[in-house]
Amino acid sequence: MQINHLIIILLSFIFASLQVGFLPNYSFFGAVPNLVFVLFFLVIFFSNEKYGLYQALYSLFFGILIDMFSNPYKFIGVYLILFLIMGFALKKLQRFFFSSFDRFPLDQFIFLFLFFCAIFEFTQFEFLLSNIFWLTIACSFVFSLLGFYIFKSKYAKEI
Amino acid sequence: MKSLGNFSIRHKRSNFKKILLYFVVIALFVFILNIFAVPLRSGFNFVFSPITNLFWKAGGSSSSLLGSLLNLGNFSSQNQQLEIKNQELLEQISYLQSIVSANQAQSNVSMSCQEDKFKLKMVQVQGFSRSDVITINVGSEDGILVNMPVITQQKALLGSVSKVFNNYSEVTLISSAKSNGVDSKILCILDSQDENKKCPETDGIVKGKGGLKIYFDLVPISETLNKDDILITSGLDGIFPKNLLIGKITSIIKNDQKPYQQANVDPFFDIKLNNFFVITNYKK
Repeated sequence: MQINHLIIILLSFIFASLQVGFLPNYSFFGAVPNLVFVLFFLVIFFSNEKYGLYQALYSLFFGILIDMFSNPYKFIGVYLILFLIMGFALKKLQRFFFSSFDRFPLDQFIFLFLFFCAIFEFTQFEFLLSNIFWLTIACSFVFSLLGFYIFKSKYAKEI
Repeated sequence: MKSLGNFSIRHKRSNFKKILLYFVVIALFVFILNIFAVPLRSGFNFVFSPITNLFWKAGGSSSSLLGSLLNLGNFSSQNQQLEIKNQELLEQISYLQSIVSANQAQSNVSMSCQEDKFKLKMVQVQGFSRSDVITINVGSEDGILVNMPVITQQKALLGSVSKVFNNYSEVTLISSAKSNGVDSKILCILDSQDENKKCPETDGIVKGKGGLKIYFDLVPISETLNKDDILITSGLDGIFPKNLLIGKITSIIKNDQKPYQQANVDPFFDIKLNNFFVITNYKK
């Protein structure tokens, strides 16, 4: 369990560096997937049902990471607060859509990811509903699907 | 029943106190973070810039390799086009050489005004901070200030410094939708076939669309814009020096109901290059 947390923290730093340094060279019509957000969403989505200490700490950690790496605002803490709220809301919505048949259904994941990713991207760009806005969400979504199957098979029970 | 009601009220109160406490702790934490914002960001950059720099270089070289592999089929047709273009340019050079002597004195003066007075600081890209904002490896410790123009080796305008930290800075590209726009005009290229050709004095503003795309805006509908026209800075905004290359017009967007026309522009800057230059003595 401790190793899992360590892996996630390490992955988040690698993803942040990739996002800032590597992926812009492969931008898809100017859009770059937001890997840090994808990882944050996966971690919260696949964690225990209630929003507890671990989820709050992860929200704080990912929020600070985004604040440090790609913050368009002068104020530090925008993403810290946003991720805390999003994490809390995500767990609430997950409980609302709870299914006893499958704890982590794909359709629920898709709906919630697109919803929260749109909110997140809205705070990153001022050109809402432009091509780049949608393309960035689409790029992130592709990576999130990949992450969904990895997390579902490996980490769902442990985080 | 009464005791049950009292318990519920007490429970709600304690919940409210808990939530309030969380808010206070988070607000305090954010407040402390903001007090140390500059050293925190600089420290973060100091630790991660070698890694992001490495990724940036690896990404640049691998993407160009991949790009050339994907374009392998187009090489022969591209080569033919380049040969034709080369011939046209040679013809233009020969014509220009004939008028060089007449204009030499004047051009020397203007060139010295444009070039010699500029102090350039070579900078390296560390990565993209976010869409159309790059980070460079120099900051206030190196004398960098907000609004300093950034150009490429070929004198193509890249953008201007938007945020400065101790050891790094952020440069907002001209393609950023948040950039204020660049006062620009069409570069006059003399035509060897038509010696009576007059240069158009078309001014406008180059604005960013985001995603490394730019467009030419606020051009009066009466002015003539042509595909392949080259845009340069006019220097009227006081932020960017004049005669810096911006890009080439790719298509014109005209709407009779609007007083202005627009044009899509292919920017000259290549973000995959590693080295750029900050003009450190132009800021007004």
